[in-house]
Amino acid sequence: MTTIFNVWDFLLILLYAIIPLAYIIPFALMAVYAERKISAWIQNRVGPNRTGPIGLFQTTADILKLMQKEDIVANGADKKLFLLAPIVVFIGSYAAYAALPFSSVYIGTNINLGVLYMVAISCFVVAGIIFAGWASDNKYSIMGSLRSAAQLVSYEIPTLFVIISIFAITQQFNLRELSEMQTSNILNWGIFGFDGLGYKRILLIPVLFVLMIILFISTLAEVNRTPFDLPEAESELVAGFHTEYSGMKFALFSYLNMQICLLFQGWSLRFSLVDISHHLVTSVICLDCHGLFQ
Amino acid sequence: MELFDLFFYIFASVIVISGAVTVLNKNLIYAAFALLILLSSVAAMFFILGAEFLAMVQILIYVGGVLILIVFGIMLTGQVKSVPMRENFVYLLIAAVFTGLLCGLLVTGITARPDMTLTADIASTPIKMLGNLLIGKYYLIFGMLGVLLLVILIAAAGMARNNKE
Repeated sequence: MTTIFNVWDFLLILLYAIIPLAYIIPFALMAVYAERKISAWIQNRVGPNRTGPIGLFQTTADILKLMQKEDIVANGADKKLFLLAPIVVFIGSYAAYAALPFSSVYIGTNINLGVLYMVAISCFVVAGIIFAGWASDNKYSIMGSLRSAAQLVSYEIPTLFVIISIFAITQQFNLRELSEMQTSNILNWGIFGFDGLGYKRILLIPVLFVLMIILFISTLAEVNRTPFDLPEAESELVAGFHTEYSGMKFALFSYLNMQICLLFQGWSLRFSLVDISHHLVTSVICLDCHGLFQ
Repeated sequence: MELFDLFFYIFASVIVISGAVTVLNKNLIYAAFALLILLSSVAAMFFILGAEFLAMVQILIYVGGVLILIVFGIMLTGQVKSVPMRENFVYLLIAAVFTGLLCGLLVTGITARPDMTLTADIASTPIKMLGNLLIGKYYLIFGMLGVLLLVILIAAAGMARNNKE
């Protein structure tokens, strides 16, 4: 009680909280571009190629377009909830960055239960999606939101099981410690058994590989990407829970949904951008593995 | 005034206000949204008090499980936007009396044992110690709760099964 409340402390905390955005926005731009381009190649199309060299600025242009759009609120919609629901979704996906170690230097809060925190805070996304679907006053929205919520809740279970097994192997909840266990040598990665287990980890490799596949599938389901795009099925529901949203609010939904996918699947790439010396090789090979496996 | 106090009072007031909205609002969806805010501010309160594990479990179970279940339940009810509430003076009086009694009980219970209240400066929960306590000292309670949950699970599965008559 001796110290007096310091405004600078507060501003410092705010600044600290904004840092991930400086990473997320360019990363999301490039990741969406990559997704479009690669899926185009798979389907024997060209993909975006007009805006900028080989279409590199296509997503930037899309975001600029979304920002200029009129913010439409449907007549029958519940205005307050319609406004608040995207914010809840945003909180759920952005707050997860607080426990994510971007590098050996920068981590929002180095809490002991980092992974559990990320799983827990993602629950806000489910709630936000349901509220968004209800507030839209549109049957496609509500059906899409219920499907989406059911899918998110049910695929949380395999994710949690995998996380529990990782805890059992490493006896470590702290995300920074967990990623430090996997540095410095390719054989220290999660998939090859963790550091400090000796030769016994050879026995673990098949198990961990299966875990990686389970985790990959369940994270795909959690972000509603292609094999699991039931909630946004275009042929039956117009666009799922964000049918009625336009402009920036739509951008909040779609790009942050996308971002969760990348958060879980590509934080090794994030490492490599920030802390090149440690993690460059990791990012190239293991892009689509879950964070736990680096 | 420290930063801790500031956040404590902010979250405390948010808890009180959103609790009131949860109980008093006639629109069930608004009540559920207020409940979301209430539960997450309780979790935030646990966080600033240093009980990380409790905060995480609070979010995981209440926001991720119970609240979603409640909202799904609301979606299945017919009357969502204006629920009839008992606004008689008699009911209000009864509610006020019982709330006052509960409040007094809590306040006396907490202030009667000042040695039981801890200072807020707690180091973050050592999760290993928690696990050791659950498996060691409190094993009986832990096991009994496990059995209880199993019974509930079996009962729920039994109730959910279609009755073939």
